Amino acid sequence: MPERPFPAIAQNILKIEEEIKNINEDIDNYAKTSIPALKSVKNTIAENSDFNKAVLNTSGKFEDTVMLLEAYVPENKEKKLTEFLNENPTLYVKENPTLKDNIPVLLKNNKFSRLFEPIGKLFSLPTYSELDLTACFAPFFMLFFGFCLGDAGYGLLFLTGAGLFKLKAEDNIKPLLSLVQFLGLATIIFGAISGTFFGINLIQTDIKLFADIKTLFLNPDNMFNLALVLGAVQIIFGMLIKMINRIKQFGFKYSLATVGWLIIFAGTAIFTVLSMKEILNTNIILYAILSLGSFFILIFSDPKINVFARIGKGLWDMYSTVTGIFGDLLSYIRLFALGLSSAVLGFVINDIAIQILGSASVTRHIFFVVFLLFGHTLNILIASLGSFVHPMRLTFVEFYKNAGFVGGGKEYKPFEKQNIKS
Amino acid sequence: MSTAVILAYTGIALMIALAGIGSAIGVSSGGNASIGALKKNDEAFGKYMLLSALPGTQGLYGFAGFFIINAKLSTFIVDGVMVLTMYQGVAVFAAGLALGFVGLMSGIKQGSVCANGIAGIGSGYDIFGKTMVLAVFPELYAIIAFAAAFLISAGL
Repeated sequence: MPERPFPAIAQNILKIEEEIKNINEDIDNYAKTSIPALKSVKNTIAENSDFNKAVLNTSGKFEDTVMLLEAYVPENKEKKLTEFLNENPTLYVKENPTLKDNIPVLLKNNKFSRLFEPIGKLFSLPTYSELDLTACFAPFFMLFFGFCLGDAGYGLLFLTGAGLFKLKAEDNIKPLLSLVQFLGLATIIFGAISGTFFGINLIQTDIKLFADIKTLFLNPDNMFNLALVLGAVQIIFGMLIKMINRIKQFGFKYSLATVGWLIIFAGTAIFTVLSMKEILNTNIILYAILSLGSFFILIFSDPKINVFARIGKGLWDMYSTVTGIFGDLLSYIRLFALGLSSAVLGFVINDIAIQILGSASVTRHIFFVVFLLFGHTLNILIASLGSFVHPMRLTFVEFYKNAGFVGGGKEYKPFEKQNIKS
Repeated sequence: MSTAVILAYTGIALMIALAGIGSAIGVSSGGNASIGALKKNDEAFGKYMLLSALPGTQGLYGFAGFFIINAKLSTFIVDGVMVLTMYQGVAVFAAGLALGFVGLMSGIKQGSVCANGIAGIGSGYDIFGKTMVLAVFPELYAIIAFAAAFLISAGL
């Protein structure tokens, strides 16, 4: 015989279970009130630590009777700071920084190009005296992403998916979702240009709706040329920026070598187009363009040294730039090849799925749907990773190089109140 | 079966196999480095995974190249027998050889760039973006080889 009867034990179990439930509820309630409290404590600690850091960065003058703190403030916040300093007993000196100081940078972009700032930061911030290129690479980046992914269906998913997610998302990831939407839009455009929709090749299928506009789709050969043209446009645009940047940083004289390159490349491009249309048919104009450009490149390669040394340096520049530009331009072929490979893989997925549907198995409809979902998800993941990274390289290597971007700026991280969300 | 057909399919085999092996080795290097880095810093798993996945594309280029050429070759079947000229056979073989070897080497080398990046991130350096940019340098040549394979197949 057991020591206690069975009903008593069962009663005991029920009682203990009730107790466990109560304890769990208590813990939940505790968490509900304590997590915000912990967060606010964390906030205070972070603020104190920032404050102490600022204090530690002061240097003592006159045997530590005066503490000196140097800091930068953006122009639009200067007034507020001055007011604060006047209200509080502080002795201060206001100065405009010289270019020799390592001035931290705060990027200022419009609504569209601000979305691309995180991408630019992956490489480097511009130095204080440089142009911020975010606005310049943003439209290209968008187009290149679209070119590489190049499927109108996938683009539509990006656009609507990010749009729906935006309704529920927190404020700090909304810019990211807008970026995804813009990239999706570009993907739709290029999907429409090449005629690809969820891996279906609209050029080869017989859908009545598209019969009339079929001739408008670009075939792969034309896409190949389009990639090179986009590349040439970005490179010439980059040189234009380099010219403006050099005028801004060093003066007009230093920009003339870049002007020479612009004359040669833009001039040759325009000449080629015009002579293909048979508007121009003498080569004299081409020679004139080339010699004018070469003149600038050779004579103004480095205005600081004597003329003969300049010609020598100019010749070396010419050699390295011509070979470099050729390589840069070929690098844009990747846009075409990536677009083609993601379209081919999408097509393969559809092909296999249709073969599954054609089999005799009873469960073929389920497998058809599952395979399509699985296959396209995988393709989207892999293709969009590639479509993100490769335009990034084109931006940071080909574009930044031709635009003469140096980078290495320090981010402006002001001493401010912490804003951790509780 | 003619020599041309044998040559063509040997080329296709090389294309799929070598490019695939390159990717397999590349992603393994990335995976191994990730596991090592996880011991130091397990918060950056997303970054490790993205970097590890980068060398996976070479194998896909090999497969996409196979698909394009396979579709083209099937148009040469007359009465159930594939009829290829020697020129066509050699062209496909060359496409396969080029894409296969470039895919193999670029996959392996891209893997080692990614692995180094992962190790760096694990040690607390902020080099994710830079590693991504550097890692796609070797991939370009696999892309070029894929474009070449496409152009060869278009010219058959």
